[in-house]
Amino acid sequence: MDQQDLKQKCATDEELSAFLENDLDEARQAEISAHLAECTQCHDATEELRSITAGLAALNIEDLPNALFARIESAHREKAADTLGRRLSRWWERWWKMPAIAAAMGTAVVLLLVWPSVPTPGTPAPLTEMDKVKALDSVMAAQQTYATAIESLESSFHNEKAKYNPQTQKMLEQSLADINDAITRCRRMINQNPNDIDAHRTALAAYQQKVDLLTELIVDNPYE
Amino acid sequence: MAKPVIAAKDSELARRCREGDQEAMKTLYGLHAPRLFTLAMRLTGNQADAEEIVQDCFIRAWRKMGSFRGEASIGTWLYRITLNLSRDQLKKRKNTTSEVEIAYTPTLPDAFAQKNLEKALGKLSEGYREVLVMHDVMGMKHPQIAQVLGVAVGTSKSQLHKARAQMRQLLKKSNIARAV
Repeated sequence: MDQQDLKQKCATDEELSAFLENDLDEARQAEISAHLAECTQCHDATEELRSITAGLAALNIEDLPNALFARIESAHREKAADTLGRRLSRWWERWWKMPAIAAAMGTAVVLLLVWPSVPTPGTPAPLTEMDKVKALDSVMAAQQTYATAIESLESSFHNEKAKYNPQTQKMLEQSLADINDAITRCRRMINQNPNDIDAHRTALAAYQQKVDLLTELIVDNPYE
Repeated sequence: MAKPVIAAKDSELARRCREGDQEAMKTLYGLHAPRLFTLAMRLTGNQADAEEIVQDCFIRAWRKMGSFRGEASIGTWLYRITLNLSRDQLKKRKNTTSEVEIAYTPTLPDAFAQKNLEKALGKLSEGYREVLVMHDVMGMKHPQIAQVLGVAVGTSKSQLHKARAQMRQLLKKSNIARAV
């Protein structure tokens, strides 16, 4: 075979690479294999490709900087804290943008605090019946506000709870059920005696406990 | 039947990471960080960038483990995150330089040949470099490379052969192909 014929059978670099990987069909593999025995140029090109491949394999780095994991852990914690801060501030803004809620809760708390169950010496003037009616109205309004807030938080928690493992989910649901029991008992007492200020106080405390728990679960979830 | 065993291990590891299990996070890091570092290092050619990419990759993975669906292995998922972060890094750098600068100091005895390979690798087009690094440097198989890149296995193979051909031409230009 003269040089002209030999050159016509020369493979491209891409084909030679495919030949090294045995990616060509059987006939072309055999053809190139036979050609390499005769053609120095293709033989050398194949050897170069082989040495490039071997050289590239030596570029694999298996040793990592020792301190990298500690750095990643610390950066992860910082980012989680940032996220938590942002979510808390968003939550805070959302609630304080609702002045009606703030006013109702504030009035209820103030009136409950100033409503004395036992008259204190030196207290300027006892609350009138009208004050008590107003206080009760505010307490009722606050309870309604809590109920609305809790409904919204419960819906958010429902979407988030899949992120907890089944055991934790069960525990959280039990805690919420306990608070719900306390609220139901207070409501029953309030229905029996709407002027029972202790029942109102306990109900508000239970509502607040539920808001706190749900908020903590939604806002503190580190995997969001 | 190795695949279901790996899938089960992956989903167990993912579940523990989702729950904030520190040991699981450490295991995930130990299993994958060295290879992710190689990928980022060889794609960007810069050790500081590679460290930052691996860091971002794990932070993202730990936080977003909930979105890991288990359709691919965790390894493939992490490679994909690393690849995207490396591409972003190269995009950011594109304004300042046209090719990847190699700044990693080789520790092997044939440092000269290695340096030349690294230089040529840095001159390859991004797509070729990605396939070449995954296949020839990291020893990954075409089906996994195809999954990471989101292309067909055939495309991964043809890209590899084109990349090697271009590497040889680049090294030939510097008359060092034989020295490698």
